[in-house]
Amino acid sequence: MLPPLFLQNISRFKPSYLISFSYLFRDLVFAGMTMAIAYAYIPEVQNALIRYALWMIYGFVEGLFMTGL
Amino acid sequence: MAFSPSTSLNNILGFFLHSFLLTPYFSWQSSHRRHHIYANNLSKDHNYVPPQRSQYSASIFMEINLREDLTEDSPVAIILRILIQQIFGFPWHLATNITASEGSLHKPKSTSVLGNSYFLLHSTLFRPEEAPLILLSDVGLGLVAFGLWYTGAAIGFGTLALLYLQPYMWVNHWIVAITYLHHTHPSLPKFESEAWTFLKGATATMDREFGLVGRYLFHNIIEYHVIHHLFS
Repeated sequence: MLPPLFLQNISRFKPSYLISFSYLFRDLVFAGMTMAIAYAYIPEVQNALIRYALWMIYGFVEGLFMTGL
Repeated sequence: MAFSPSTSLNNILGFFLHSFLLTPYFSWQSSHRRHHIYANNLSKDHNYVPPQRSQYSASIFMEINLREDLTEDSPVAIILRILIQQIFGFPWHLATNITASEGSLHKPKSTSVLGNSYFLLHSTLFRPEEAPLILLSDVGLGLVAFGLWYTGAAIGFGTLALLYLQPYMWVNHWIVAITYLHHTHPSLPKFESEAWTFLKGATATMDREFGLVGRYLFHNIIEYHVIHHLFS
C-alpha cells in the first residue's frame, strides 16, 4: 500500500514546461540524429553482411527512441 | 502524467507526434479515456478484455478443454501466438478494436470491414459528436502517409522501409508488449460490472521493471502504470 503523504503529493503533481520540453527535445534529437547518421553512413559500408547487421541494429535502436517519443 | 498544464498544447503536440508514428491521436484519446474510466470492468472496458470461456470456445470452433489438451504450453502454439500478437497486434487493434467488450461500444458491433475501427467517423467506437476529431486524426495519418510516399519516391522505397518501417514495427512491438504486460498477469482480477469499482479496476493493473531503457528512454511508462490509472 502506498503511504498517504506520497499519494497526496502525487495527486497535486504539476507538470513543468521546461522539464517536459527538454525531454521532448532530447528524444527528438536522439531519434533524428540516429536516423540522419544511418541514412548518411550505412549505405556507404561496402561489406554487405556488415551493412545488413548495421541496418538491423539501427532499426532496433531507432525503435526504442521512437517508442520513447 | 500530462506533458504540460495546458491541454491545448498537449493536444497539439500529441497530435503531431502520434500522427508521425501513424497513430490516430484524437481517436486514441477517446477510447483511452473510456478505458481509464472503466478499467478492468468486464462489460465496459476497451482493452484486453478476455472472452468468457464459452465465447472463446465458440470462436475457435473447438471444445475449450480439447484446445487446452492439444496446445496448452506447447512452444509452437505459444511462439506463433506471440509472433502474431507482436507483429500484427497494434494495426489489428486499430482496424478492428479487438479485445474491447461489447458494452464499451456505442452501437451494436459492426460486421463491415472497418466498422469497429479507429478510422471511420461512424465507427462503433465513437459518439456521433466526436466525428470532427476522428476526421482530424485521419487527416494527420493521411498527411504522414503522403509524406512517407513522397520521401519513398525520392530516396527509394527500400531505403524508406529500412529507415522508417523497421523502427515503426519495433514501436508496434513495444506498445503491445508494454500494454499487454500492464493488463495481464496471473494474479490480476478482472471484474464483473456488479463487483467493479474505479479503485478496484485501477489497482488491478501491473507495474513492471524495464531497466535502463524503461527509466531513461521510455519515461517510466512501464514502471508506473498503477499510478497512471489512479490519477488520470
